[in-house]
Amino acid sequence: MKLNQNKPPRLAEFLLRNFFKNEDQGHRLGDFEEVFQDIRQRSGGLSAWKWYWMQVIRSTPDLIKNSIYWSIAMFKNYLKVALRNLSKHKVYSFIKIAGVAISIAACFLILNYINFELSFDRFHENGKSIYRVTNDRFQDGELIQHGVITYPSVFPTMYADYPEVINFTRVSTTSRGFISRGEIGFDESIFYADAGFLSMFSFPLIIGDVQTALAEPYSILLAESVAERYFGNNWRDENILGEVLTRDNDYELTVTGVFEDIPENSHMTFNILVSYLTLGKAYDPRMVDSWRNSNFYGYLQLKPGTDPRSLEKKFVEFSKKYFKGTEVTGYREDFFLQPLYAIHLNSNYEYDWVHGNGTVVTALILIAGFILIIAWVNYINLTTARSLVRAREIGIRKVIGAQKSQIIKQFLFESVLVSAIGLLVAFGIVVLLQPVFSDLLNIQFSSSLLSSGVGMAFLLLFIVGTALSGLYPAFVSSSFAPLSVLRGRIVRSNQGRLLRKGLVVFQFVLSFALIAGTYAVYSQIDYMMNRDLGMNIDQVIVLNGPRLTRWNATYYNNISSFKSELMQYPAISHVTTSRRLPGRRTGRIFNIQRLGGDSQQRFTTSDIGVDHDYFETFDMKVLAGRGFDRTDHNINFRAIKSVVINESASKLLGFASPEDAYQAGIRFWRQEWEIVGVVADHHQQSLHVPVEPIIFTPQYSTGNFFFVKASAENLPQTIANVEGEYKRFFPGNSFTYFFLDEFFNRQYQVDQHFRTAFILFASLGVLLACLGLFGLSFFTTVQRTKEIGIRKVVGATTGNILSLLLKDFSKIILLAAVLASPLTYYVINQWLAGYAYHINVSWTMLAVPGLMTLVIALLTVSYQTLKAALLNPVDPLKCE
Amino acid sequence: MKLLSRNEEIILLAIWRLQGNAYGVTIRDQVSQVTGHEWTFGAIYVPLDKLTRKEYIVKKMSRPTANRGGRSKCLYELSPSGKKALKDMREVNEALWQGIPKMAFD
Repeated sequence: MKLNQNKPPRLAEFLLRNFFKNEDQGHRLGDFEEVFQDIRQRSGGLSAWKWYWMQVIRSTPDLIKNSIYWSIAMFKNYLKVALRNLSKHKVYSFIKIAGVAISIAACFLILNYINFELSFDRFHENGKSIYRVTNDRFQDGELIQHGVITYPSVFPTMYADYPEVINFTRVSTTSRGFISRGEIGFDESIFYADAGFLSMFSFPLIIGDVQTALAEPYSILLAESVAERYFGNNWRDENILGEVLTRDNDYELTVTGVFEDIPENSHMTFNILVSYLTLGKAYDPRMVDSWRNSNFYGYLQLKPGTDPRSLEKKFVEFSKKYFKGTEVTGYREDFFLQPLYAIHLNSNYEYDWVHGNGTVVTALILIAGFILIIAWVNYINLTTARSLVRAREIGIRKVIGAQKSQIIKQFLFESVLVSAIGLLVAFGIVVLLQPVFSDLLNIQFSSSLLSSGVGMAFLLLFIVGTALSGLYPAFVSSSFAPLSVLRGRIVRSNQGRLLRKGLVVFQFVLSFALIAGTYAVYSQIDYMMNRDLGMNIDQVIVLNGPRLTRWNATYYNNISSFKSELMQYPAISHVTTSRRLPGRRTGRIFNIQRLGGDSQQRFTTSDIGVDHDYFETFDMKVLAGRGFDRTDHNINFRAIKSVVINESASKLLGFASPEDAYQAGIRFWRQEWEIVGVVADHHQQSLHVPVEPIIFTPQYSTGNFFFVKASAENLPQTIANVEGEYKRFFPGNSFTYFFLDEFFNRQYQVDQHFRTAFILFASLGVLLACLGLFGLSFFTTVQRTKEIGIRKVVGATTGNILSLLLKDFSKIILLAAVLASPLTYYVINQWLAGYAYHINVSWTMLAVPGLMTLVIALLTVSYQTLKAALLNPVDPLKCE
Repeated sequence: MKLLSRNEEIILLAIWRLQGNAYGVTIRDQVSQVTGHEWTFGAIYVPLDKLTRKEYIVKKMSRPTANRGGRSKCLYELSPSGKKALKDMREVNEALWQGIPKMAFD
């Protein structure tokens, strides 16, 4: 590098320059250069150069002190002016701060919810390499089951065959059981898992050995809270390993461990864990080793770095080898791997457990974004509009010597100040409302939000947003020409006004989308919850079946007399039993064949075992033939011959009409059946799930639920009566009951939370937009006061003025509605398409929100406008 | 009475002594010479700014000169209140010195 030694070093000079105020810059740099030149002449350029650098470096500490002093001085001034401005124009300040506060509070709450949803299953240390095996089943090339349940032998075989599978566990959840220890006993739901379960997943054990706790049959592990139930609060002090618990008064289970209660953000929930091998020993070996019995879930852990897709490709061979085409099960069996992390939010499998909804998360992220944008637009609009009024202040600052950069700094400072105050208010809102929200939306609040990635992203977004929304007004304000401003000629640029209008239109595009979305969500969920199910589940009390009562020849009579005893009570109109609960998935019957017809074709339907009072109890319409009657039952299962099918099943089996199906013969479960009736379709599950073809079989079993239809009057007494009879008929069984409609509607819990959240946050967004519009209308009317005065003097009526002012805003809103309609329509359509049963998207779904937006917006601006229109024209004109 | 700091007092006296030719370079030379160690410009400017704020000195710009890269000088002069402040300091100093016996120097 060649140095120009006649001149001071450029970089040093540049550094130095920044320390001085503008007015001092020239002469101080001159001082430095004078000495520099002096030294250069006496002892040469190099030493002068060295001196300059040394001087700069040695001066720096003092100079920094000095410049800090000056920034603080200006800062004080900015603060003073900003606070004066805020307190002088309370309406604008309120709108700006409220905007920031509400948007931040809303976003914080939404982010918290999303953070929780995204945190599902992330606590498993091996999470990245854990996959759930899913099983697609094809019959005649047609997909008949897209499920997460499959055959128990699949998992150990995959583990043995593929070295990249380093661990496996099967899981079964279907069982409820009575677990007792001496006098203490509870009805529990029991979760079975293989020995690999505890080392694959991170469910920490408080006591017990991860490797061996589930290895032996008849091992049981309890959650901390359950251990307390059986062994008291001091279970830690006693050595409970090796203690014995009894299942259904039938067989014994040895306690091999206690685990920490399962966190809320786990897709599996359980509090009693029993070794998987127990199923084979206590019930049926086919539950552990079978290529035909498909009722089990399972997970594989892959060697880190394994590509799941390449393993899935090998499953094609696997299927050929073990299922031999359709030879083993009657279907082609395809296997896939679903990442553990995808289970909670991105899952649409049959037989899956209740899980979250990715759409909800997306929708809420969208709303949060809308709210932020609306708040920023408010800020930009109000500040630029107001900067015209503050032009005089800016003019004077410039005349005194403020530079453009200083004006920008001042305005940025103001936006940071407003945001900071807003942030504080938002914090207050969140602290105050957190309990309400978590109740309303079932959100788990984590205190660690800000330390997590989402929180940081949010903080960054907030800072960037504040800076951006402050920057534009700052540039607009700083560019006023001081002279014309002071002469009172404020140049109102059309561009600025156009931009402002554009932003308002944009804001109302978003508001329209929010309102339309709310309308659609509300209508859809309302539709789902109120649609006729095809069965009447109101006023039905459900009792758990008497599991502890032995199944024997007297059981049938026992249940019959229990039912007729209950019917003696006038409050009880019907009693029936069924293996399946409305609101829960049914089982399936595979390989159904029609007798007589084309016997090659096989069908699959759902199956529900019911007793002969079922259809009458639930008001289900019989379309052809009859419902079951007493004579259809038989204590010997193989002697039962009658089935009732539903309309869908009649169509599936190829009958032209229900009458056609009546008395036809079908074959499944290795025996022949006669269709004695066809009933109308009903919704066995929520409206998320399509109606399925169903075959009803007449069954009684100890596992059946009792359904008691009772009148609403004096319900507690009725329940007490039912309990008394239940205890009398089935001694030893614990009596638990619930209401069927409540149970059924629990399927809509996620939807209901979503609806509440959507309505809440969308209203906030609309409220913010209205606040902004209110501020803007306030500003416009103030600006036009004189014009209004003159108009009134020359004869305009209040109505004229009102329509003049409202016309402008109406145009904006209508334009916004028109612009927003196509995209909103598309999004709503897409969303509804995800529902098996949904409302029709018609023009009203856009017209109603459009009208609502217009009414809300006009109401917002009317207040100011009306005030202006009613003004005595003398007042504004007098002051000139 | 507000007392000057020692730095401020030295700089004020230097400006007074320079009699109208007091600007950054000469002030720095003067104080470095009298005190016997080199002062940086930074150490000069900070008290200068403070004194300007207190209105003990007033600034006057000269014509630009070539050996300063075409920049002007900023000449400093004492204001009446600056002179008063120096006198006050001197009285304080003298009052303090009065109690010290001469022999103490031996």
